[in-house]
Amino acid sequence: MHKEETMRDKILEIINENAGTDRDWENQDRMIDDELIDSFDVVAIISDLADEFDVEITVDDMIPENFNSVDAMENLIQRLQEEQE
Amino acid sequence: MSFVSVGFLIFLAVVIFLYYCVPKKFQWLFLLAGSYAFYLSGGLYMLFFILLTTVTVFCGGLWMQRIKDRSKSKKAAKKINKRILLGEVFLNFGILLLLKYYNFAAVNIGSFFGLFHYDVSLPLINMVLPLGISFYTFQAIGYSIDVYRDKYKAETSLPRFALFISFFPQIIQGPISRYDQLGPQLKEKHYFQYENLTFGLQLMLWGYFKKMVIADRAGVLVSQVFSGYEQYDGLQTFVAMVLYAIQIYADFSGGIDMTRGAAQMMGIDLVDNFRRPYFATSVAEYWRRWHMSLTNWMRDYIFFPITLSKRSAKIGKWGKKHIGGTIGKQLPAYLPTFVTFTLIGIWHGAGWGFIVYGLYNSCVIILGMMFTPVFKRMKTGLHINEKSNGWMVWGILRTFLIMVYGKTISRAESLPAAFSMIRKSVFWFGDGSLLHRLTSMGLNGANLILLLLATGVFIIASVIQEKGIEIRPAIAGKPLPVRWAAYLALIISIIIFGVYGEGYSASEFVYRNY
Repeated sequence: MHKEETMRDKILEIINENAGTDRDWENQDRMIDDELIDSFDVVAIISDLADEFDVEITVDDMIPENFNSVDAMENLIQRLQEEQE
Repeated sequence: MSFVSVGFLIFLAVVIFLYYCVPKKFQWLFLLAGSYAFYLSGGLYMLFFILLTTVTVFCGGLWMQRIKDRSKSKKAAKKINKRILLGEVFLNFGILLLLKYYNFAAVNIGSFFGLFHYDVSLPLINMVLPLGISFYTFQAIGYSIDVYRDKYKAETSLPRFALFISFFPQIIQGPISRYDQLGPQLKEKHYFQYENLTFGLQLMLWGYFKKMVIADRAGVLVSQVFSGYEQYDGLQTFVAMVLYAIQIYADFSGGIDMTRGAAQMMGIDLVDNFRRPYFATSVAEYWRRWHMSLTNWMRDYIFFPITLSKRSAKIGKWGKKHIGGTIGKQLPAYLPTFVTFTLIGIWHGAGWGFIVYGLYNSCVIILGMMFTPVFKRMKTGLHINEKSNGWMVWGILRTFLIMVYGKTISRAESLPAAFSMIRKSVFWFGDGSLLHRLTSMGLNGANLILLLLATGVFIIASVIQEKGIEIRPAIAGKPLPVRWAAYLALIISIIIFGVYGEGYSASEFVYRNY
């Protein structure tokens, strides 16, 4: 439980750093679909996520469903961590 | 067959009428026949190229699917499929490159060797470019890459796939569709719905208005000034440059409206290509609003694959460690941005103007990225409220001007001509009265006023849409006299004020019919 909270907090921090703090990112669930973050932000966020959680995020993972919300990103990273162990 | 022709309107009317008459399960087949009939109107030889792309990409997709389904190892299947995909890409982009860019390359190679006094003259290809090749090639390869990436299963019916590639409303100028968005719609049965017919027709009318009343009228002035740019003063040059930006937007978006309107009449929804691009407050935002189907294609199949590659990740790590700060972090995005926008420039055509246009956009965007923290500090220091209307208007005007300069580079007779025009346009001095100067560029006073009014209508409609209001349903909800006043105003203005071909004068049309 504690580990998941930390991951979620870290993801939020990364989003705030790259896409700005003027939105409540935690409660967004259409970040990509509603274009709240642009392609450059996405690339920067992915780079930071990959570094922070030591996973490899490839273009095959680049679907809106994986990045539309903090939950989605958390699920993606957990899945990648399991697959890439 | 041009969209702006009686022939096309008759063709469309017949197709739509029969489309709703044929048994529903044969509608797609009927569309296929209609699309190929439309394509053949361009010339029989063009059929070879579109068929080649259709068949190779269809077969490639099926082959990749079969390997995926039968292989025990995902990795091994991917390795083989990568070769199949690359084969398809090389073949189809190879054909496009050859037909579109060979002559340009040949001429420039000759010039290059000429600098060293070597006489190298390569033979030139004398062929008209197959209709829509820039659009359907991208659409087909997008499908291939999606199948490779397991986004969806490959299409198993060649005729159905052929319809996706050749669907006639989008063949001339897009939008570049994705298979999972358009494919299922083409397969579905479409029942007649009054709203589809009326809204589709209204959208087409709006497209004709933009093209014939605004774009083609502005084009008269733009052609005259751009082809004889040395004779015009700074203000005249600036006016022509701005009008070109308006012309190209009205022309292209008008054409897309005709396309989407025609498709809507058949119950098919094609993706939109424009989202009020001149309301963008940055060049990066402009490209998220202009020719969206192309820029999204570039983002998904060029930009993301490069930025998310292993090499890019290594560059990113290196940048963060050794350079640090904003630039260190953005480093992996610079090259893909440069490549993406240069390709967008080149996609437009074979010419130095287009290449430099691409380079210009990529430089502006990359510099914007690099200077983001500097701009942020400036705004804080100057106590600028980013959310204020004033700042938004400044962003819009600044971006519009940057794009006007960029488009001038792509439109001018040559690069030296472009730079000469841009330089001249900064100072607005000139001889003679303002009225005389403005009316001696190919459009008389009445036409200039008409252009201004029509553009004003376009701007007002855009502002309404930007606020989230959908215009067609909004008008449909009004009382009958109001609705019909709007529709008739549109129809009458197209008939009376539409520009029909070069050298045309609005008043002539009215008398020709008598």
